[in-house]
Amino acid sequence: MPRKKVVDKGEASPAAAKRKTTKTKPDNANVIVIDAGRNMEGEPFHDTIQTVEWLLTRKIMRSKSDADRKTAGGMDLFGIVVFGCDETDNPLGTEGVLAKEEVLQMATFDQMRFLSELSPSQKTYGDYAQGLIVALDWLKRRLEDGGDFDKKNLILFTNALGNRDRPTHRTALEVIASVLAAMDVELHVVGLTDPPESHSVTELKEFVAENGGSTYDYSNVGKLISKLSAYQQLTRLNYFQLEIAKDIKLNFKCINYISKARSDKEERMRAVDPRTLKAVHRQRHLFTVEETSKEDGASGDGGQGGPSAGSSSYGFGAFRPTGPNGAAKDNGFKKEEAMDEGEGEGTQQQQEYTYTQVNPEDKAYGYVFGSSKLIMDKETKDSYNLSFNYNRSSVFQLICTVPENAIHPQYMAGTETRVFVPDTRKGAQPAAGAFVEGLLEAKAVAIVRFAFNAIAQPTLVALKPRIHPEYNTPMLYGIRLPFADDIRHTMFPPLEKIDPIKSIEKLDLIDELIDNFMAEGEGALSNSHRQREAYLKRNQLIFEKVGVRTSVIKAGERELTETQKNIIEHVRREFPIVDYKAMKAAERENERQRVAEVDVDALLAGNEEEEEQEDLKPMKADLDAKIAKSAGDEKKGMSLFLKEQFAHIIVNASDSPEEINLNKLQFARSWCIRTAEPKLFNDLMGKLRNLDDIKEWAARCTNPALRPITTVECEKSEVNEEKAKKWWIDDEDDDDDDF
Amino acid sequence: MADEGDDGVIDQMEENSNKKTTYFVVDGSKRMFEDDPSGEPYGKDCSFARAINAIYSFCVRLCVTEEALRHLVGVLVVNTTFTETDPEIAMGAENMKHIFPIGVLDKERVLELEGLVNGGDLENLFAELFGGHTTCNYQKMASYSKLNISYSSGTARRFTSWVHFTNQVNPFGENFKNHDEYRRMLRNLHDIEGRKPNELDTLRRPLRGKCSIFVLGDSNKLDDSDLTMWRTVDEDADIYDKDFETLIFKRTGALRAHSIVPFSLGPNLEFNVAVYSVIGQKTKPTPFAVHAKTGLPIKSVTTYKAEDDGQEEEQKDGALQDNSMLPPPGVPLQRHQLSNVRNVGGVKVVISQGERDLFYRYPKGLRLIEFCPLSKIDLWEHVRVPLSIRPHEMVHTGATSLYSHLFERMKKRQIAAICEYTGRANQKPRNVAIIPNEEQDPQEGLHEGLIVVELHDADDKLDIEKAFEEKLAPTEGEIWPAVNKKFVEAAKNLSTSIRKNKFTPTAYPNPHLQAFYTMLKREANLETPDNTSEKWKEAMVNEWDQIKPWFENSAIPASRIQKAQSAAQVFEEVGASATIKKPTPKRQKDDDEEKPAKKSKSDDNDGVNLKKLAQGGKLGSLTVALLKEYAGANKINFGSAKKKDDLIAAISTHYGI
Repeated sequence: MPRKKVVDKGEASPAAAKRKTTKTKPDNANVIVIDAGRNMEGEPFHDTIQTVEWLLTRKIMRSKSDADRKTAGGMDLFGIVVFGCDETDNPLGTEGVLAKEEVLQMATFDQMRFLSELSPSQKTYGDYAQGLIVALDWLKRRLEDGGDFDKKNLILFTNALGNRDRPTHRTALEVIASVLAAMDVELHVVGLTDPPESHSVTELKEFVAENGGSTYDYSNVGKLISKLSAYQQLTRLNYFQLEIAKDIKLNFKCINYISKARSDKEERMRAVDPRTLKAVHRQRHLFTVEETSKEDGASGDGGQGGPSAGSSSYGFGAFRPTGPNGAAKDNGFKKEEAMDEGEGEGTQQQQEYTYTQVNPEDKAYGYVFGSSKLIMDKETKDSYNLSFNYNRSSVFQLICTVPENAIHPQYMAGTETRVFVPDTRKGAQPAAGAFVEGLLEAKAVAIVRFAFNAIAQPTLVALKPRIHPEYNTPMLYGIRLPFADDIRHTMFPPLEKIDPIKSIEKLDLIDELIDNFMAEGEGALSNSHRQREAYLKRNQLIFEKVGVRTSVIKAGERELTETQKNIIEHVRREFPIVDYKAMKAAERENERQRVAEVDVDALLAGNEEEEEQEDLKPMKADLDAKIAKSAGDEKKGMSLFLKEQFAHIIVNASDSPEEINLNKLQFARSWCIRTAEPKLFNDLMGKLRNLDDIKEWAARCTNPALRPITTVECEKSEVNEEKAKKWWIDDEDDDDDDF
Repeated sequence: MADEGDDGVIDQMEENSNKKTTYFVVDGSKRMFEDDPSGEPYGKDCSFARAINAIYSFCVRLCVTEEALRHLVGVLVVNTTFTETDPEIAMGAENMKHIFPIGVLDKERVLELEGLVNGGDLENLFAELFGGHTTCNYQKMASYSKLNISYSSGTARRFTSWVHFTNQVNPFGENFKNHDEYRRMLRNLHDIEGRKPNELDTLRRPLRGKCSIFVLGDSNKLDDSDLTMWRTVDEDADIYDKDFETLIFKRTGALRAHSIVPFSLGPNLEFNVAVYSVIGQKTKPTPFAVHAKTGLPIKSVTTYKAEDDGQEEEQKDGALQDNSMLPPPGVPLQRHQLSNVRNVGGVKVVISQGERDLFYRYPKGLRLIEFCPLSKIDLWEHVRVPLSIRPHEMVHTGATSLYSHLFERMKKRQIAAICEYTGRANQKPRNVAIIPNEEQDPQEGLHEGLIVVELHDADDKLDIEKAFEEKLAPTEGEIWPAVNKKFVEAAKNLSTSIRKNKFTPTAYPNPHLQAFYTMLKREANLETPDNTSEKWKEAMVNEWDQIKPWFENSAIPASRIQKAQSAAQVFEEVGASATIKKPTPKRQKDDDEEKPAKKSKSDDNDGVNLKKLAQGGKLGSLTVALLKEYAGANKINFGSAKKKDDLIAAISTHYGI
């Protein structure tokens, strides 16, 4: 095909060449015509470059799989023509016009680099008529070279102010109009001011309108970019019947109108061998792991002759089972680099397990019921895997109708919106259209049971009636609704209760915040604004690797006005947000310092008659009795532990007993009962009873950690049940008897 | 030995960590058996039987949905003659015995409960298992519960629910607040909930547990005043006589936040919010694989092998220079050893696995772009299940106040906040609208607060003009004809007769999942399959499939059905039921162009009159494929013409135009 000669689609791999043999649709030709005259200096030129860069970025990052090309149409090819610049390079020899390339090509980083080096001229003013003439001539030459294009677009970026002081090019515009019509080229103009600043702007606007073109400003340019996307041509139609009553069916055609899957297409990457950059294919190995000992040497059924652990031919080397507990965890394989180092040890460990390769036919399945495993044969499993669509194809049945507002936004589940429009082919349209209007008049939304095809499981769908304001199309918007099983039960405390204090001043402040950040016009809802930021974030790494710095990368940074900054500062003052972790860390640090400064020995001596005479600086003392236990003297370890607890209570909790770590006391208590050492614990309780604040609090606290160990719990104890009950309540009489 | 024991405890604690805990405490006193509506003690509907039934349903539902693996459950019966308590933590607790202690549910545990539910003679069964009835100390019951929960729940505990079933409205008397046993019980229960003395602080930080009281009894005989005591423990305590099974889920439900992200309103002004997915599509779990003969679990490893491996290849730009970390050629590679390539912009960009991870790493958070009126957002053009956000105080304090003031104002002014949202570090930044929601119905998944609704990008939406001008336009004529008012009226009547006031998802269980759950229950021997009858499957399908169209739904009153039928009759009269041909697979595959259904040559009523179109100069509106088709059908010789103009010329010549 001659077209192949003129269209350079980048590096074509043999695989790509192979794909070209499949039937694909003609490509789209887009000529970007940029005004780089002095009239564009400043913001207009900056916005122009940003928009063009964004347009190209989207195309660069777009997935171009074969499937896409078949369904979504051909690829978007670009050429760039610059007018009003200081250079001249074009076949017509028009001064100040630069036609960058010789061919139409897919968006490249070279084009991005060219744009980043482009700057507005200091002496020349851009004449859009000249730019258009050169661009059309350039496109014509590409067509003459054998190009066969589905759509041809001329995208002109100008503010048309370069023609402000020039006479109107009536003749030139007439020529352009006739060529546009003859070549079936659509004209899009971006950047014209509204209201028009000059007659030249008005003139261009009128010209565009007369010739069936469109004008855009920079804020709504997303519409143009969306329109130019080849992917947007993916419009697969499906046909459905809506059974509104028994055997009464209305015909609809359906289009997948909004789907998140579309913009996610761009992220495709191909896995390759890092040494050769050749594509790789996946191999899945199934095997069982059996723990065996060296002595018995059992290896499961052994008949499969599978590889042993670490066998490099299957790549198991980097894996080993998680051990006995791993069996309880499904798919419990952890990646560990255990085999590579220390061959001797590695071998020993490997020999504990036998890996047996499994034929896919020997695979059986099971599900868990709690922690029990239910293994079942395929027949049983499949007997419950029923089609609830009863082999009817593409039918949805009316369940009920609900008021419009009954479909809460929270219920709008699913990842796509479908549009259903009456199918006119069999004369059923009047009835289907009437059904839509009837729903509209009743202000109702239909809830239907929907199954995409004969084997699909049914889903719940809400159909909202609408009439398209421009095309008068009666249609139903369809979104998936959740089933009962999809609701996750939870309880949140009511907001009124969490934060009951609402001062009018604070609410006014929030009002002010909202007012200052209120969108103007389409604002952030405009696709252009939103998409630009998302694209740059997603593809930043690619840009960095290729070494292209674009203005798009900076687009994500939002600049606030002074008023906005002030209001933010005001809100920050009125609603103080404190870093809880930092606050607690500071508190803990203070606490540590306080504890370190206290002479615990002196404190203990002051409170009780005698104690073991060790150096008991609490922070030095071992927090965990296990350390003492490892030294061989468990009782001593616990004694140290309890002393440390006491020291902490004196230092930290004597004023606020809630700070006492009851878990540690409970741990100590249980240990003392278990080891029949009740005195250790009861001594501490006795000491605490001497601290008035603690005593008063403990009398109210029912925590068992504060209860002395009684004779019922441990025979060795000297405290009986009766005494324990009155431990914190009884005032004076019994104190000295115990200790 | 001591060390081994410790290790065992630690292992168990690790295994039980990071799980929800639900501890049921059932009153086993005699009065629980005496309130059967039939008047007969130990009847099937006595409070004890109903409580055990509810626990059984709860456990089965947990087990079939795989939730049980992340949930510890224990059932304690109190006021029993037998005492079976753990001596280490019993602290003198008596007259209570576990049906099963706190742990992960399994088939055996559920069967134990099933034994009590379907065991027959409840009186003998209870006597055999629990000795008989007596009265225990409520403080002991609470402290034993608390210690049991804290000793069984591992190091990191998730939400804990303590659920008490009783029909004793107040065991402490009118002056209960001064009753020592009551006060001590209350403190222990507050400890389970993690309630702090300062109530406001308690509410600002989520409680780590919830104590729920289900007072079983006749709601006609008891009233709110009888619940004064229990409502000091659980403000939601109520009297239940039936249908409280699902409520248990509601009370014990506490979602784990999908993510905790900073919500930035501007420079240096951000607070933390927890993001919850309150509604999410539930699907069947993935089965695990075992070896059919040995029963051993099957593991799988995926390796990657280069195409045409083994051939000498020249070094390419971007290929790894240092291969020392990779296995020798010919040995399959692991996933983490691969690189990725993207052919973009005329450049082959090589991205290593490490860089790829970086590639998918974005700063988490919600960043305010601006506010806009709610009316500007078309919520029907959505792309993902909405999420709920709640203030989260664990990292920053003060979030709740800002959140609730913001919510208050957004609600009043009907304002939405447009934000950029990255829920997790590996998620792409999305544009979302945060909208206020005042509706509150937790059972139906609605919670008051802010909701995150994802907005679609330009790429997600079809080119509207193209779609409506070409694909969705009527075949003939450019304007949709006005519809017949008679049909409109009929549709309106139909809509009114089958109208419901509210959409309640809980009325529509997923049939596919119900079938799956039944299979699990049967395999776990909880239900005996009745496969003897040939029609069992049909009967089951009817039972599982509750999503009936209105004309098959017996729950709709007959009068309304009749009204709806007469309204629908109008459509039948005009032949609206005319069916379309099922699209052929070929057409489905290559369906980017709308084509009328293929007609037979003799079919004159297909609505396409080629001659008329040719005379009207409208042949250009047909596609090449259609032109060829119709030309063929009308025996027009168009030779080898492939282009549209040639075809039109051939057709025009044929008709002499």
